[in-house]
Parts: sequence; C-alpha cells; structure tokens
Amino acid sequence: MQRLSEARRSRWPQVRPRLGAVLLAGLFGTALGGTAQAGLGTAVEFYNAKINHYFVTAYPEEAAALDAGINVKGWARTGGQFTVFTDPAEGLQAVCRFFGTPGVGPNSHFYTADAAECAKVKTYPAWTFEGIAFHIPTPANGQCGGNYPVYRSYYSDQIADANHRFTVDLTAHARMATRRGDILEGIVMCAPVTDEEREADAVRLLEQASLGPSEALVQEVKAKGSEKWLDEQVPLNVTRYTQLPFWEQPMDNSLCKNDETLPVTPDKFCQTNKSSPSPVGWEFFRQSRTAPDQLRMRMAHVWHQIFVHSANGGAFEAYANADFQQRLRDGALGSFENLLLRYALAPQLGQYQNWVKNVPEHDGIRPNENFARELLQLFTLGVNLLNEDGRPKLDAKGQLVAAYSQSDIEALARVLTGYTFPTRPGQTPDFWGNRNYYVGDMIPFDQWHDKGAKSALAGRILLGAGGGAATEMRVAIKALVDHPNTPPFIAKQLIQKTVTSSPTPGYVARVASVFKDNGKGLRGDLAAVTRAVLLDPEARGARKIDQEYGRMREPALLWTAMIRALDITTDGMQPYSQGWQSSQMLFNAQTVFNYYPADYTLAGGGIPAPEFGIYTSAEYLNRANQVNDLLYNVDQSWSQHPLWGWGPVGYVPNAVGTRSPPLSAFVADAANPDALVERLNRLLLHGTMAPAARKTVVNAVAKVDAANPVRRVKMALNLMLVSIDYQVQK
Amino acid sequence: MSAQARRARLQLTSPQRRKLLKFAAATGLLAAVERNFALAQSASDYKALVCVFQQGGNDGENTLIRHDTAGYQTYAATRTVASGINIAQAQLLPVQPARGGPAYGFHSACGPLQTLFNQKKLAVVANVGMLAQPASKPGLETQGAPRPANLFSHSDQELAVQSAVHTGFERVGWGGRIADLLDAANPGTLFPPMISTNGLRTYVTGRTSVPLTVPSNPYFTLYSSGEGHYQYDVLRDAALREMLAQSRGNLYDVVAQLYAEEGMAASSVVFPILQNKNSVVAPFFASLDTDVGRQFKTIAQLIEGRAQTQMRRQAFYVHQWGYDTHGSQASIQSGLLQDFAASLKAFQDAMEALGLGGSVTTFSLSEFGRTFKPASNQGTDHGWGNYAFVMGGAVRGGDIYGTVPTPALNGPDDLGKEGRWIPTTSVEQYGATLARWFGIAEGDLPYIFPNIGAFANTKLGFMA
Repeated sequence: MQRLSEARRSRWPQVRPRLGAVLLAGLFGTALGGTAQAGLGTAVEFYNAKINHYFVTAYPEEAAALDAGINVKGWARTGGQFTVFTDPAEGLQAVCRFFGTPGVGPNSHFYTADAAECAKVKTYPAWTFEGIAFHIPTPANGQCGGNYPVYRSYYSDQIADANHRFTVDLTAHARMATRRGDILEGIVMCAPVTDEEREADAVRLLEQASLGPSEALVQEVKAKGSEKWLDEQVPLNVTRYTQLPFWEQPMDNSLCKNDETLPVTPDKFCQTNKSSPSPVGWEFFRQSRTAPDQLRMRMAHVWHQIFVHSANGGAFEAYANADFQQRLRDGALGSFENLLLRYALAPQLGQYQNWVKNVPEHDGIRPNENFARELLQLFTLGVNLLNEDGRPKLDAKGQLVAAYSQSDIEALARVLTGYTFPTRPGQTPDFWGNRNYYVGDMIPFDQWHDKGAKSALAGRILLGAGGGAATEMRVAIKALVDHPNTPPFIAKQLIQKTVTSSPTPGYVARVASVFKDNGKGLRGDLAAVTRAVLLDPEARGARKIDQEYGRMREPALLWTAMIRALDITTDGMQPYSQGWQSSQMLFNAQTVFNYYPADYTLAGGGIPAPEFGIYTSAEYLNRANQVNDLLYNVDQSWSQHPLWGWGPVGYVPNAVGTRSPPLSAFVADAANPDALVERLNRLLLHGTMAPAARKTVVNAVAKVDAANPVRRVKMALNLMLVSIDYQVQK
Repeated sequence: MSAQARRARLQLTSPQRRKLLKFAAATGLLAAVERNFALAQSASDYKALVCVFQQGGNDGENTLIRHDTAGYQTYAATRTVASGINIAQAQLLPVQPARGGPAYGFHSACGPLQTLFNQKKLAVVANVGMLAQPASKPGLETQGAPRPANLFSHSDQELAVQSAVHTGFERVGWGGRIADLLDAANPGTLFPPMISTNGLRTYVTGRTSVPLTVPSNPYFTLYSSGEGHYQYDVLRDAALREMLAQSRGNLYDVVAQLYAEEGMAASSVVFPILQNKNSVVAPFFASLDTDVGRQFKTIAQLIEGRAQTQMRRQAFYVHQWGYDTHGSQASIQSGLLQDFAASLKAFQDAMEALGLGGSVTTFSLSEFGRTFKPASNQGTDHGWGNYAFVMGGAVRGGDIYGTVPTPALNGPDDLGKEGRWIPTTSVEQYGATLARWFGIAEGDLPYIFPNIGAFANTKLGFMA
C-alpha cells in the first residue's frame, strides 16, 4: 500500500513558492462542497508546466477560474477528464479533498475515496481538509467492472515538492513513472461511463478495428459494447476477393498492353486488368464500404503490411494477387503458425523472395538468402533480441544483442531449398519445368533440397543430414513461432498498426502474453491476440490524452474511412490510384520493408511513428487535395474522362466512378454551424477536436452563406478531414 | 515529459517552427515572387550538393568491371555465364582511369556515365561502405573488431550510410546535419535548405533543420474547390492556416502540423518555379519521364529558381528504388542503371546550361554492394563495400579513387567467402571530401560525421 505515502511526509519544510493551489483554496474557502449540483459532474484535469503539477477539479467554477487565469495563472487543461457523482448515493464513496497546509504541507491537493484514509489524513497537521469534493464508486478486488478505472500516481522530490496525478488514461498513468519519477499507485476510484463516452469509445474502436466508423455502426457497437461486437465479428463469413482465372503473361509482352483508343473497354486494358494488382486494389476499396466482416478486413490489411508481398518484384498477375490477399483474409484471425506457413508457401512469395526453385550450392552458385534473411528480420524475430515487453535486451556492456547472425541466415537459406511452383492442371510435376503458377501452395522436391545437416539460432533449429524439404521447412517455421522474440515483435506491430505508434512496454507485454498462451495453452491464436490488442485498457476509453499516443492515418485508411463515414459510391479505381502520390499503392510496395518502415521515428527523437515515413510536406497537400477533389470536383464535367476521370472509366469492369458523398443527412444541421460541427466531431473525432480548431471550423462554416447548406456541410467536412486532429488517429 | 520527448519538442517546435511560421506569414510574398520572376538576379555565389541513393544495394561488381583480359577472366570465373548474371566483355563500355592502371568497363546501360567519365566530369570511388574503424579480414573474422550494427540488413545499413552512424539506430542524417549548418550561408531567406524529391529518408533529416519534400510533379499547391468559388477557397485556406498555427500537445500532432505548415508555405514559392513555362533546364529531361528523371528535373528547376528561393547553398536528395536484385538481376539492374545514368547526364547538362556545371556536385550512395558470388535465381545477396559515383564540374573526374578490392572469394578483402568486400573507404571519408568542397568548415566535420576521427585520410582528392 502506497496510499499514505504523501500524508506520511507530514512535516515538510516549506521552501517553494506556492504558485497555484493556495489561491484556489482562498478562492473557494471551506465552502467548496456547497457548489456541487445534483447528478453527474466532470472532474477536469489541469497541468502547470512551471511546477510540473497536475490538478483535477470537479467544480465548474474552479475549472473556469483556471481557464481564465483568474488569481492563479499557469494552469492548462490536459484534455483529461472523468465523470463523477455530485451527490451521495448507494454504492458511492465520498471523496475527501485535502490541501497541503500552507507553511507545513506540500503545495498540492490530495483526494481519497477511502474513508479510513480520509480520517487518518485529517489528523495530519500538514494537510487541511477542504470538504467532500464528489462521490464515486471504488474498485472491488482492484477492478472497476464497466466503469473507467481512475489511476493514481505520486511524485515527491523528498524535500518539499509533492503531487498526485489522477487519470483514467492508463498510457498517461504508466508513463508518469519515467516522465516525472512517479510511484504508480494503481486504481483508486471507478468513474462512471456516460452515454457520450460510450459513443466516443465505439467510434475509437471502429477506427482501430474496422476500415472506418459509420454513424449506424457506431450505434451498433455502442449498444453491444466493444467485447461483444468483436466476438461477433470473428466468425462472420469472409468477404472474398473475386477469384480470377489463371492467366499467363504472353511471351511477347506487346500482346498484353493497354490500348487507349476510344472507346476503352476492360478487355482492351490487358496490362491493368490481367497483369497488375489493380483490380484487387479496386475491389478492396469497393468492398470496404459495406463488408460485414470489418474486423477481418482491417486485420488482413494489417497483416498485408507485415507479411508483405508486392507485385513490384513478386507476382504481378491480377489473379495471383487476389489469391495472395485472400490468404491473408482467410488466416487473419486464425493461428499465427498457420498464417505464416500459408504465407511462406505461397508461390507469390516464393517468386517475391526468390525462394521458389532455390537449390543447394552447385557450380559456384549459392542458395539464395533473400527469404531466409527477411523471414528472420521482418516476419518473426526482428534484428535484436527482445524482452517480452518489446524493449530490446541489452548485454553486460549495455549493447543490443543481435537475434541472429549471418551464419544463421546461411543455414536457413539451405533449409529453404527444394520448392517449386504448383503444378498446372494436366501437367506432370517437374522442379525446373513447373512454370509460374499461383494457385495453391508451392510443392517440395527432395532431390533439390540441401541434404546436409543444419544448425541455426543457437540450436533452436537442429537438423540432421538427409531431411526432406517439407519437414525441414516446417521445423524451421515452428522454431520461429516458438522463439521468445516472436510474441513481442508481432504484438508491438499489431498494436502500432491499429491503436498507437508508441505502445507502452506494459501494453506490449500484455498482448505478447496472450500470443504465448491464449488461456487455453494455444500459442499464436490471432483472434485472441487481436482481442487483446483492441480490448486493452490502453486501447479502450473515450479519450486519450498522452502526448505520445495515436498514429498517423495511412493514406489507404483515410480513404476507406471517408468512404464509410460518408457512404461514398465508388468502384475503387480512384481511391486506389490516389495511393500512388501518397506512397501507398496497395499491393505494390517498393520493397519488402513495405510502404513505410515499421521502425520509423519522429524526426529528432526516438519516438516511434511508422506512418510518418510517408507523411511529408507534399503529402499534406496531397491529402488536402484528395479531400478537396472528393467534395467539390469529382462530379464536375471537367473531371470526367474515359481514362483517368473521377467518373466511370472504360477499363474498369462495372465502373461507377467515385461520386461526391450524399450529404443529405448532414444538411439538416447546416443551419446551425455549431450543431453541424459537433455532429461531425462525434463521428470523425469522437468528440475530441481541439477546442480552438473546432472554433475555427465553426467560424468558417458560419461565413458560408446559409442559403447554401450543402456548401456549409462541405466546408465543415473539408476542414475537419484535413485537420491534423483527424489525420492523427487517437 | 521524458528527456527524449522534450528534446523532440524543442527541436521540432521552437526555432524551426518560428522560422516556418515567419516564412508562412511572409508568403504574401507569393505575389512578389511572381512579380519578380523575370527580374530576379541569380546569386553568383551558389553551390548545391545532390545525393542520389541507390536503394536496395546496387551490384557494383556488375556496374564497373575490369576490362583487361586477366581482370575480366577473374570476374568471369566467379560470375560465370551459368550463373545468369555474367556480363559479356564485348558489351562493356571501356574507360581508362587517368592515373593509369588497368582499363575498366561500364555496364552497357551506363553509356552516359562513360561519356561523363571521359569528359572528366565523373569520378569513381572504389569500395566505399560503412565502417566502425579501418578494418581487416582477420580483425573482423577472428579478433572481434567492431563492425557496424546489423551488417547486411537493408534497413540498418541504409540508416548507417545515411546517418554516418555505425553504432545502430539513428534517424538523423549527415545531409540533414549539413543542412543544420547552412543558415548563415543563406542570408535573407527562410526557405528550407534541404529538399527531398522522395520523402523523408534518414539522409535528409536534420537535428534542427526541417527538410522539405517536393513531389516530382508540378502540382505542389492546394487545388481550387471549383470555378466561381474563389471566396470559399480563400476562406478554406485561411481556416487551414489558422488551425495549423494553433498549439498542440500531442507530439504526432505537433510534427504533422510542422510538415503541413512547411508544405503550405513552401508550395507558394515552389509552385510558380515548377510551373515556369520558360524553363531552360526542363528540355533536358524531355525524354526522361522516369522515376529518377522526374526527380532530377524537379531539382534542376528548383536550382533554376534560386532567385525566387534566394538560396545560395542547397542540399538535395534523390531516391531510386529497386536495386535489391536477389533474382533476375540482369534485366532489373540494367533498367535501373539506364535510368540512373541518363538522368545524371541530363542533370549535368542542365546545370551547365545554367552556368552551374562546376557549382553543383552529385554523388551516389547505396546501403551496400552485393556478393561477388552469385546466388540461386540469377541474383546476388547483400554485400558490403561498393562503388560510388561523383559527378560535376568541380570533380577531378575520369579516374578511380580509393582501393579496388581483390576480386577473390575468401580473399583478403572478403568477409567470409561469398565476396562481401570489407570497405577500404568509409562513408565518413567519402562524405567529408564532399562536405569540404561544399564549404563546411573543418571544425564542423565532427558534427556531421561523429566518427570521423577513426579515419586518417578524409581528403580523398576527387574534388578540386
């Protein structure tokens, strides 16, 4: 129990100027409790950078005084808040508010919902009891059930300065330990969850777990709760990419070109429709709008950025890309080992990673190391040994420890020999004769497998002489699944690609532990791991205020989010093509390191920020222009063109183009700019748009002629979609 | 706030933010820029340093090959015809290094490089790579000599050669650190001194300077929301600027805002430059609508528009993807080198047309070379030391600098037995030679290359 830690130091010398709280006490005297009103209140958090103190108050007058800087200056809202009861009731505890006795105690406030603690602190001369601040439930067995846990941390410089922080944001709480040297004291109260907070959390879940919130789905998730919605998502039928028939690039490339003579038809665009992943990319955006299995769609999108295959260097045929991406959808919520195996054995990957037809050393030619290296570096272990919380292990000299060596790669490259393309129907299997064919898995030929004994990864892979290709490959995959690096390496990336770029070590460790064991002894149960990522207290909640929380929206997910929130009719062609400018042309990554480096950091510091790898001064303008086009230009006659327009183009089958969003639902609110902006704030930003930015948008909307309500809605949407608040998902 | 977070905020918010805000406010200067377009005088004192990065690890051993009989036979004994990556001697484009030694031949796709070499505008530096200290085979293999962290990994070695830090993860680059020092050389302008035409790679990222990314197309501006709606565009743009100027606590917001503000401010200067219908340099790229060609064209136009940006010292970065030729190397590398060589030559011609042939130096970097020994699937794997190329009128061209490695598997320059050359010239030595020419003071070199003290000779002689 650390609870009395502050009160214990009851006789501190007063050496610091009392910058803040004493004036608060003076402002309200001892009659603080008298201002409370019946029902619910909000405890609002403030921070004073000068004295590095936090402070919460549930008194609106006190909060207003701090906002206005009356009597006390230097306090700013952190964005943190939680709901409290203003009146006593069954099941609630009265919360005592204390202030450090001037000249004796610290310049800080202290709250406790523990009656015994309250009584005890009242006896300390260092503390002055100010009254009952509010009422609130307290944890039972350390848990808050459906309420938000309120965490308490405590800082003391051991001389005169001390301060508690109370927050419902676990990320912010956990980081107090390193930011200020706080002792983390755990859950001390349980804040009730309001209807608005439930809705905000539903929006947040859909930003993390789907291809984007829509008003209808938000209401569904809000009604069901996150857990139930996720559990219902897992078994839903898998949305399928249209399976395209086998097609082979003619030996003479000129036989598969795009013929741009008008009128253009899909058949005349052989290169785009047969020999590129474009049709699969179009379908991704088309399906994003209404597919019921949103969780799977999102997680497949996540996995395609970990288990990378690119038409740029890999299989370029449309049918092969559809088949490959379908593998990821099918396996996204199954077993990690199975997904990895299906990935490794995909002939598309064999082509991409040059391991199809990889053979033992002969005639001065070595086994190809490409897949062996990336299998270790990118798909399972990462370059350095990790602790279970994702932080790197350090050796005795404080140096990073490599997870594998060049000789491990060379050994694994020998394991990964002896596979060739699947056999085409009606043909006889032939290692060298089997030509590029991307239906089913690659097949082993033991005569082209390296028969020597192999040892890699400090004995984790130990293979005697004479083993077969399939057996040895599976042994190696199993060893990598079982390697202690894999759970944190994968867990961290899953969190980063859904929730936040810089997860705390605690968050990574909680997800990694579910990866190790789903509770039933199963390792790598991806449905359970995904659930752990999305239901973690650092993922859930109505608002996240830590300065190092959130993730830059990916260009592709910006588009799916707009398509879903605004119910945009699209055949997917333009959303897919826009990815080129934005460096996220789906299924066409420049390298196996994908659209952006998984280990990218913000400039100037070590703060993880993968998506910032493609967020630049030029990209901001790209996104602003894409939003602008979508809202204003796509329906204009000049933006129609049979080859590259926003309307239907000739080469896309069943083309409908990309239409401007139907905004009738929002037009109803256009007469009242504040109501309009608030509605969009709830849908797009879960109600957390920065007050100043919100004010800018309201003012701009109000300046648009009220007689043009559609233009008002578009102005609001334009500014909010382009706003930094929206671009950084929190 | 952690020390790390505080540092990030300080670096990204205080001086650079103020500077950019000032810059943004000054872009009412757009009208002035346009008005002055025809009148502007070019500063006579101008230098630019252009980095072109060959991402993936260019196979240097097939870019420049010994052309004399004995030398070629040694090459062909390892890179056999059967390996699928052999280049026939008859296809090579021969050159004779100025200070003697055997003849070499460029890859057949490198005709423009052969021309530049013969015109003494192109120098080759042999066996360049990232080192912790001067290295030897026994030192590295058996005596535990230090080596760069995660050698042979793309991502790590890209970071290493671009940051000039061998000890591990560092995302501030030596180009960015050069840009950090350019404010004094660029009086009277707030334009960003480092421009990338392909995103924020490590090389361009500074400690205090913020790089600008300009797309390699001419549409770097906010679009209109339709004809007859100019008043709404004005309203929208003003609201966007107002929001971007509002302070934020979240670090991702802060950085995202910074780049957005920079884009808004810079585009108003850059857009008219890229739209200049009377560009002298654009015609040199008329037949080069390629990835690298477009990037070099954009840079050439920005240099042409130096009167508008008022820059005297500028750094640029070009990124070419695709050199990770584990398979089908012959056709892939040939296409890449063709684009690389033709774009370099067009850029040099464009600079000469501006009278800046000797004021602009272009150099190549790649994260590593490739194994001399071939691999399955007609490719090669990750190596280490590699050829680098330096182009410009100030280059002592027509020659090979540094030490060409002994082309023997398990030979004295091979780490292991697959032909991964132990570099004999470190990135610091190569970079310092370029930085000195660019005007970086001797005393500032350790800021740019923290490990420069580990290497004796940092004047390689390829710059005049």
